[in-house]
Amino acid sequence: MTSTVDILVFEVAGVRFAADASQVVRIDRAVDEASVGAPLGMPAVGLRALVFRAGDGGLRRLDIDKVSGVKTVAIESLRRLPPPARVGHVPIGAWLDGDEAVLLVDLERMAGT
Amino acid sequence: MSAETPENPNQPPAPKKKGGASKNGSIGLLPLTNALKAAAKGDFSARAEVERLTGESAEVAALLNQVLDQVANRNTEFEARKQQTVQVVDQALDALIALVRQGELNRWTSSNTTDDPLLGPLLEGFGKVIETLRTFVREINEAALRLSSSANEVLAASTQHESSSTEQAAAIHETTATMEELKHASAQIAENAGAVARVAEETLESARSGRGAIGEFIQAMQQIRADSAAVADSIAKLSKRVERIGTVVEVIDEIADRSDLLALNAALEGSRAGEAGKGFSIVAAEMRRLAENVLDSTKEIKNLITEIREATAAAAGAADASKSATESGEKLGSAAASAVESILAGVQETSDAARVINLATQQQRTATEQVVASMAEIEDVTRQTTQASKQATGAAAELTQLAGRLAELIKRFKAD
Repeated sequence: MTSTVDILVFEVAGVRFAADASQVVRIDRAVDEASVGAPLGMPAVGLRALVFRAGDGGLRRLDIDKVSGVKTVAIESLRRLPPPARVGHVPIGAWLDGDEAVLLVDLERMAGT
Repeated sequence: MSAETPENPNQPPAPKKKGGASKNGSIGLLPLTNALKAAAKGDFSARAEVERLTGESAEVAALLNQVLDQVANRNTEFEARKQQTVQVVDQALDALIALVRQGELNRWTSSNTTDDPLLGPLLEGFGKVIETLRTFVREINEAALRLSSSANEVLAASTQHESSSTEQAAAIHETTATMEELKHASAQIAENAGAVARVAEETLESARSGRGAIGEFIQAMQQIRADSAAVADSIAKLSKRVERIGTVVEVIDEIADRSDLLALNAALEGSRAGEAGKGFSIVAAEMRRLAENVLDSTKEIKNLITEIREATAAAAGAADASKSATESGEKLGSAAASAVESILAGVQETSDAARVINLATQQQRTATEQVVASMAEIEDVTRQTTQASKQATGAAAELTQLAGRLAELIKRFKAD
């Protein structure tokens, strides 16, 4: 039996990203100057915000352009980046959506950066 | 006296003639006979030799000598008178000859007089005749001079008149030629004036048609303006409705966005619920798909509304422009109507003036033709006048010559 995981796929500045759906508390509308910043780049429209819980237990917001949806994907379709590539960086791996690789981000770590 | 003293003893005796004695030694009446014979021959100087006679013979001889003395004295007086008469007659003849030959009337003067009672009246009459002739000559000379002067003046005047007549004839000829050209020009002008009148009438009709067309144009502009106002009103209503649609679409879009957000969170909750939430996640996904469809539709509607707004704005602008254009058109039409009215009035005046000009030129042409005919008659009369002036000049010249000739003839008579 194949193990699966739910990921939330979203877009920032035309680039697709994915995050562990369990890290997202809710999806909200973007609010000015409430985001953790723009670690993934400046949103083009910034209509949505991902609300997630940081390591200190507090809620953080990340403004994004668009939420593509919640996908249930196989573990095998996920790849971890090598440790040198992950140190100090938000992307921790990639989800292979067919021929396209979608970067996986760790929201908690993003809140710590 | 000697006759009264024939026997004067102191008187010397008469000389004895040779052979005068008679045969008996007496001389008888021989001294008387000799004296009488001499007297008979016209010799009144001979005298009878009284001393040779005696008695009555001596007395007769003395009386004879006295008679002969008286005859001699009378004869001497007669000769003197004869000489005087001849002298006076010669003077008169000289005066007549000088008058006849040289025309001199000054030879005879008032001093030519005589004591002869018979010749005196004749000389007096001759002098009166000469004086009368002098008076005549003086008057004739004066008249000849005046005549010559007057003839010269007449000649000068006639020459001047001839020259003037010639110049006048030339001027009239030129005037006639000019009037002939003027006649042709008048005919051309009359023809052109007629053409102008016709064109003016046509222009008047065109102007009237133009006035009607401009009236129709103004009505059309007014209709277009009314239609444009209606269109603008419809566009405004449409714009309002579009705005209303936009508001509704905004509401729908808001609802769809909330639905999308709600569906996303529902899907997120479904994933948290694990296997139990799969159905919920499917519903959430479907809801989200519907919401996205709605958002896509509202986006398309928004685009359409934007296009409609742009189109209505453009239509409103076009309507405003059309309104402005129609207003401008109306103003221009009104201005054109005023201009056409002015043109019409002007053309009417032009047409009237052209008709008047046409009539005037017709009259002018007729008058010019009459003037040309009159000028021809004047030219003919002037030609005759010139000919008469030439004849008068010739006559005046001849008169001047005759006056000069008369003056020359009169000059031959010297009255002073």
